[in-house]
Order: sequence, then C-alpha cells, then structure tokens
Amino acid sequence: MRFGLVVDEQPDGFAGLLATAGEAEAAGFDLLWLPERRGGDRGWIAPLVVAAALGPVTGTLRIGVEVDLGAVNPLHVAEDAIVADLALGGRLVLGVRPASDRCDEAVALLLHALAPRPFAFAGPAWPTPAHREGNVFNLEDRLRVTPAPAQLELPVWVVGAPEVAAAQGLASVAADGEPGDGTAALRLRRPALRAVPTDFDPAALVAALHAEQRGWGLDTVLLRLDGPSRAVALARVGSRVRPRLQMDRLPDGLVEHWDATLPHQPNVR
Amino acid sequence: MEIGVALWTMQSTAAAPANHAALYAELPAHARLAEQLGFASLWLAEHRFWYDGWCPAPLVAAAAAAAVTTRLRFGTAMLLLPQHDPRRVAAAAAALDRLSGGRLDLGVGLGHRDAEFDGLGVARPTRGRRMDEGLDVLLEAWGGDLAPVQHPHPPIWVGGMAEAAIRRGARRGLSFLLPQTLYPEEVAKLRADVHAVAAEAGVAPGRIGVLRDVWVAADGPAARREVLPRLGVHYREEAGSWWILKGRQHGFADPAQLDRQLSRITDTALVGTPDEVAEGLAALEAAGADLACLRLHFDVTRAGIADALRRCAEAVLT
Repeated sequence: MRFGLVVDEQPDGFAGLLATAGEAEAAGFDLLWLPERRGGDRGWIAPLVVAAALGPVTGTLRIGVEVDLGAVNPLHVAEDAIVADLALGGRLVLGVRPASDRCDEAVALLLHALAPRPFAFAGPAWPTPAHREGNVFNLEDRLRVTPAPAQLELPVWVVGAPEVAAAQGLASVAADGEPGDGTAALRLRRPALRAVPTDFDPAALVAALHAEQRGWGLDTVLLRLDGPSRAVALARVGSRVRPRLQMDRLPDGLVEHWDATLPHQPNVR
Repeated sequence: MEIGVALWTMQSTAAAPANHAALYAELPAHARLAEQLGFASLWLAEHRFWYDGWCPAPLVAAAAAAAVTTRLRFGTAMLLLPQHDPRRVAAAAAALDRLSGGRLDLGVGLGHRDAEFDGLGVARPTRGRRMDEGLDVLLEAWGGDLAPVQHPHPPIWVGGMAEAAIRRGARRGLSFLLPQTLYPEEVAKLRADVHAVAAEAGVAPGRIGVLRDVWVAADGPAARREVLPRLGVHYREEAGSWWILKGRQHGFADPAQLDRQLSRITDTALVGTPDEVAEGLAALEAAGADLACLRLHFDVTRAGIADALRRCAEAVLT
C-alpha cells in the first residue's frame, strides 16, 4: 500500500510545506496531496504553482494536486499540469474534481490535451479548435498542446465523481468515509482520502485500512492527519502503520516484535 | 536603471533541439546564477500550441525558480492575459507572489497569433476588450483569499506600444514593458505619452521597462558576425510562421517584406564589447527607461548561457 499525506495551506505557507515534505519523505510517504482551496477551507490557491515550486527542493516524493475542472477551459489545467510535471521531473499526480456539470466533457478534453498528438474535439462547451469568427490566419484543424508532460502517462485521478472516472477509464479517489470502486481496471490505482486524528491508534488504523485493502482493493491512502503534533503522527505512520500494510499477512510474532523493540516515537527530528 | 535578464521560453527548436525535462531542470540553476551575479530579475514568456513546446504557463515555471532564490524577481514578458480567465491568473499570481515572498512582476500582453486564440475558443478581435476586462478583474481580485504579498498587488507591466495599449495601461497607472525593436528616441516618446495619459487620468505614471537583445563579447565585430545571424535565424522562424505582414499573409509567404521587418530586430540588438553594450544601455536609461530586460537566453544561445550571464554582469552591473 502506498501512503500519501494531504497538506492544506497553513499560516507558515510554503516554508511550512517544505518542512512537512521533509518529514513525510523521512517517514516513508510516497506522495503529498495538495487540495485546491474551495470556499472557506484551507486548501491552496493555484496548487499547480505550489507543486512546481516543490520540484527543485524535494527529492523523491510524488506531488499530487486536487484541482477544480470544468469551470474554465480544461486546456489551461492541462498546460499548468504539464509544466508542473516538467518542473517536478515527472512526479506529478493530477487529481481533478468536478466544478461544473460539464465535467465529463472537461475530462475528455483534458485527456486529449495530455496526449502527445494533435486532436480535434467537438464538445459543446469547448470545441477545439473553435473556428471562431475573426480568427483567420494559419488556423489549425487539429491542435497539439505542447510541450508533452515529463511522464509518458501523467496519472489523472478523478475526485468525487466515480461515474466520470469509470466513463473515462481513470482512477477514482474515494471520498473520506466512502468505499472506492472495487471494479476498476487492474492498471488503475485505487486511492482514497481518509481523515485520521493525529492521536490515532495504530492497530485500529491498520485494521481499518487492511479491511479496505482486502475489500475493494484500496492501494493508495491519502491521509489527512487532523490535530497537533503532526510530525510525530507522520513518524508513527511510517513505523507503526505503513510496514504492516505492505503484505497481506505478516508472520505471527512480527508485530509484537516491532511493538517491543521500536522506539515509542521513532525517527522524530 | 534596473537590469533583468530574459527570456526563458523553454523552446526545443529545430535549430537547437533540447529535452524539455532538461530545460525545466536547468531553470532553477540559471535563476540562482542570475541572482548570485546581481541581476534584479529573470523574465519568462508565454505562447502555446507550437511545435517547439514554448512554455504555456510561465507562472508555474517561475515557481520552481522562485523556490531556490531569495532576492531575484520573476517577471512575465508577457503573460497573454486575453487568452486566460483573469480570476485564475490572479490566483496563480498571488500563489507565486506568496511563495516567493513578494517577487513577482506580472507582465501582460495581448497576444497576436490567431491559432492560440482559436485553440482556446477566443475570438482574436476581442483581445483588446478582454485585456481591459482582465486588468480590471486582476486589480479587484487581489485581496482576501487571493491577497498577494506585495501591496496593493504585484507590479503590472503592460506590453505593447500602440495608442490603445498606452491608454489602457497609463490611465490605470500601470507600468510598461516595451519591445526590443525601439530606438532610444522612440522609448523617450512613448514615455512622454504614458506620462501624459496618466496625468490626464489623475494617476501617478508607472515605470518604463524595455526589452533588449544583448550579447557581450571581448571581440565586438566577431560577436556581431557570429551572433546577429543566429538571432536572425531565431526570429525569422517565429516571424515567418506567425507574423502577418502587409498584404495579410504570413511572413514566409513574403520573404522581402519579412527581411525588412527582421532587419529592425538585428539593428536594435546590443551585440558587442562591454563598453558598446554599456553605451547602448546608457542611451536607454537617458531616454527614461527604469528597467532593461536583457535578452541573452535564446534557443541558439542556451548552451553558453552561464558564461553569457557572467560576461553581461561584468559589463553592466559593475
């Protein structure tokens, strides 16, 4: 199972994010997840800008963003994502959540834009190219969004719209408290957002995640750690939760051995 | 006069192929060097839907460079505002301004290529109106959740020199970033026009910036023999493919007209010895320029950019 950390914007802004990235990486996390601000929540404005900034200052963490899709031309989201992926050296995961009733069309256009070949798209909201009156010179019949992402296939995960994900053959991020799609194709990841208090009980968390892993096939958990002492909580996930979910079954006695020999707060800096 | 360096476009051209991941990987290092050398700013540009992958999202690209620097400012020359939702630009600009600690200069231009507008579903003839509306939205949007660090907002530099552009920017008290093809006397004239419109509107005039193609070398004549033709090749490709000349056909269809247009670019480039380049910049300063963005970074000069930055810094910053 892979582990991601949901990080909202805190008062210490980018400096705080950098510190959190270091802590997450040290605890063995695979990715950070940066949600876009919506309403009065604490998400990031323009998370793709923030993601790009993490490129030269992080090493191996994947950087996931959760951005609205459907409110503006999806080509802009595609372009921002491509440039962010290049700045990250191919470590972006693009999460998209519906921001209008045009999400189906938006996702379809986004996928065309991320592919390294020219295309024509006949959607009602965003016909591409549009052949607008007044555009005259050197118009294209088929458009190519350039450059291509760094990744040969940039992961696109759909948040909060499993039917859209299924229709497009994309991974669907299960919302907190909701099970995911157990029928998704094998090649797709099965991620889920899960809010957990920082004073979580490791055994209970392991049991809950293991049940989901065996149930609908959860393979990437995006944890939002709510509460104080997040650095300590990260370390506890790294040593007391993550190792117990990398196999279906551990030998009898191994967990007890870990409980007896690992420091109470390992790897805390 | 402040001195910035330009223009990071992230192009992988036929003349100078490059892996795009490598182009983006080296941007932070270039920014660090520019900062160490004492340049005030580094400028990126925007275009889209072109074979060479010209950067379509300069604010996103600049973020990576901002993360590894502390004083260097980052500018866009230009972000094509009429092709965007201005609220989205406001958010991206605010995000970059925040994570950089207030180091964004937002240059905005109209854009000129029909295919870019059409790809985004925008009618090019509406670009003037969209620019006006976009500027008003930007100026109102920054605040609250979208509050940048710089107060009241990052400096906005309007690209363009047509009367409509002057009126648009000057009556709002915005600054101007003028193209590289202007002679000093033309810069002075435009500065006077900006001041006149600002005074008429009862606002303080913004600053005047100028782009300039620059190359510093110990042997001036040799540099002009080698570098000017390379710049000519670079601009000829863009102009031939994109510019619409008199007769309403694009550049390659009228080579003679294209040559005439391109000669102004090479005529105004400052390519020569340190003294020659410094003299050319002094003329711009005397004409009233507050900022000179020196374009040394092209696809065809990318391989030697570190040395070029060092020579330029020695010539113009010491």
